[in-house]
Amino acid sequence: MSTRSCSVLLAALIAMFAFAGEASATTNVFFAFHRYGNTNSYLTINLQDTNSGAIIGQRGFRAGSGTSTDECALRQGWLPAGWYDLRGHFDYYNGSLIKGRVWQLSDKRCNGGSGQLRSELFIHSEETSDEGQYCPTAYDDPFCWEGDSDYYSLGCIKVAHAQPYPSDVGRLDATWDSWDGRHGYFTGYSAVFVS
Amino acid sequence: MKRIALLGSALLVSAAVLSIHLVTAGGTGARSGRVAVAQTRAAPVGATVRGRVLSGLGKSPAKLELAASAPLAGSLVPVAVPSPDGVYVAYNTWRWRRDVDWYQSLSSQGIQTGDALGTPVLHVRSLGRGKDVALEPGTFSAAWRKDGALAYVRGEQPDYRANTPFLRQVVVRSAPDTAPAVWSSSPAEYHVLGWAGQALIVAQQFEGESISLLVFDGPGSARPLAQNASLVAISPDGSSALVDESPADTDAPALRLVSVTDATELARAPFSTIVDPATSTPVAWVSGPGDWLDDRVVASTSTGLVVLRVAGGRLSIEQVLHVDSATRPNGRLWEPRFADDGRTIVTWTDLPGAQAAQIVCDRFALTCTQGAAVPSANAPRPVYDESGGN
Repeated sequence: MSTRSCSVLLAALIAMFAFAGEASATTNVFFAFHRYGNTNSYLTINLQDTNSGAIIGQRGFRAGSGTSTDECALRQGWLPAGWYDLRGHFDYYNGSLIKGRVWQLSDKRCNGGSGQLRSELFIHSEETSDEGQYCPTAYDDPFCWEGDSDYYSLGCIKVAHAQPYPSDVGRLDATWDSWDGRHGYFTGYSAVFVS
Repeated sequence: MKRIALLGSALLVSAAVLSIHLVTAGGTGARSGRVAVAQTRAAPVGATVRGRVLSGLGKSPAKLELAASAPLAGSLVPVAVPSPDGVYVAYNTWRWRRDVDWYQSLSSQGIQTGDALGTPVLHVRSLGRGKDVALEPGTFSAAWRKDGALAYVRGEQPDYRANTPFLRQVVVRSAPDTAPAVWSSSPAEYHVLGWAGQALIVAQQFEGESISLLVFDGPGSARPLAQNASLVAISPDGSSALVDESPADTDAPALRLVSVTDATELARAPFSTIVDPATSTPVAWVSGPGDWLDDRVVASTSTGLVVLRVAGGRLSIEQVLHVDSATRPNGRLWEPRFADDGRTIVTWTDLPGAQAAQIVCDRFALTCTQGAAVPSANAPRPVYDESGGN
């Protein structure tokens, strides 16, 4: 194998690992949430070349947030506009009301800073802490994705855990693992944009 | 004979006018519909606080020590609360430790998780003497009991820290100048909502902004009132509370009338039965805080306002008002309150450009007036207490 061939192979391996593991020094991963309606907004995960600013990878998903379009309404309004930091990502989060694959967002005061402070918000789905489904009743179970009304949230961004598998939350998580890969608490600087 | 006929006709007309007046005054003449909104330059109506200006409680407006503000509670609780004897007003204040551009991320401004950003402090102002007393740092969200006891929350630490839950205790003073007693057994994200007689109704906030309601009967004595629900209003006699469910928590959300004594459901009104008169479709949500006057409750909806009647343990929908502006993003109507006549509803709304305005509606005439736009920091928020009962 020539030196040139080795170099090409090495470059290919570096590139592969760069995309398989955490975002490299030359790439950045961020989410963009475009608010159209409480149950029919759009969430993208983006891989950006930090040198050129170009988006070199993007996947998009239907997403929901809130039950009203007033971003100042605690427990009701969709996520306020602006930039957020990511506070962490967990595959098996086991909160009392939010479980499974989640990304936690930083706090945000609504209406450009004049109103309610919104806090403890996540990107998540309706699933159990082990990424499964728990659907004991014929009604709306909190850890079971029954249908489109599950896009409603109290303020968080929600993506579907619906068949066919991998579900949207599964594909979002796989993309995160491929492009960024961090887990646990960390600070993802300016990693979520809401418009 | 002709005179007698004329007299009879006059009496009939008078009787008809009188009966229309009585029907309207009784509210049974209220009809659902789309309300027309006109602009006005008139001064705000009722007891209001706008930044540092407190008006409608005394002979002339008073200037508060600090602007009334409660970013941790928002409009879940009143920003200023009058005592039942009219001697005091308790109001929420907030001091930022540093300027924050909330449109940008915190990290881009050098703010790390755990950095102290601001401090809430509850103030009690004597309306007669103008004396203003700041309570402990880290306090906000107040309600007065009929006998003058003051309930509020007090942070475990005085400062709100970035990305960190502001944990607090529920405390009660038997009078504003007495020592506070802790009623909660452990700190949590509590909001004091109001007294129902001797019982204190408190909201507990969880991750994802879920809220459940608790009743404190005394120190260390809390019991559930309603899970995944928020308070709309407390009955004037303090025996029951109207709470709202979220479409995010259930596929059949409803307003629920619950007994404060034992949390049993007395009546319910599914949102699917509250039909907007302009669109002929059910409202998506109904939410508090609202107002309960005699046997009527007013609350905000996804398209305007709803007036409900609570009588004989039954809940009925009296009137649904469609307000076009309420359907816009950031256009909901906040904290609707009845004026004493039960015919006028006073509320306020955010406007584009970080502004706000008071809206005053005649619910019988189906007309509203919108006051002058002011910066959101000076939004004309009503001064009230949700508490009921003796």
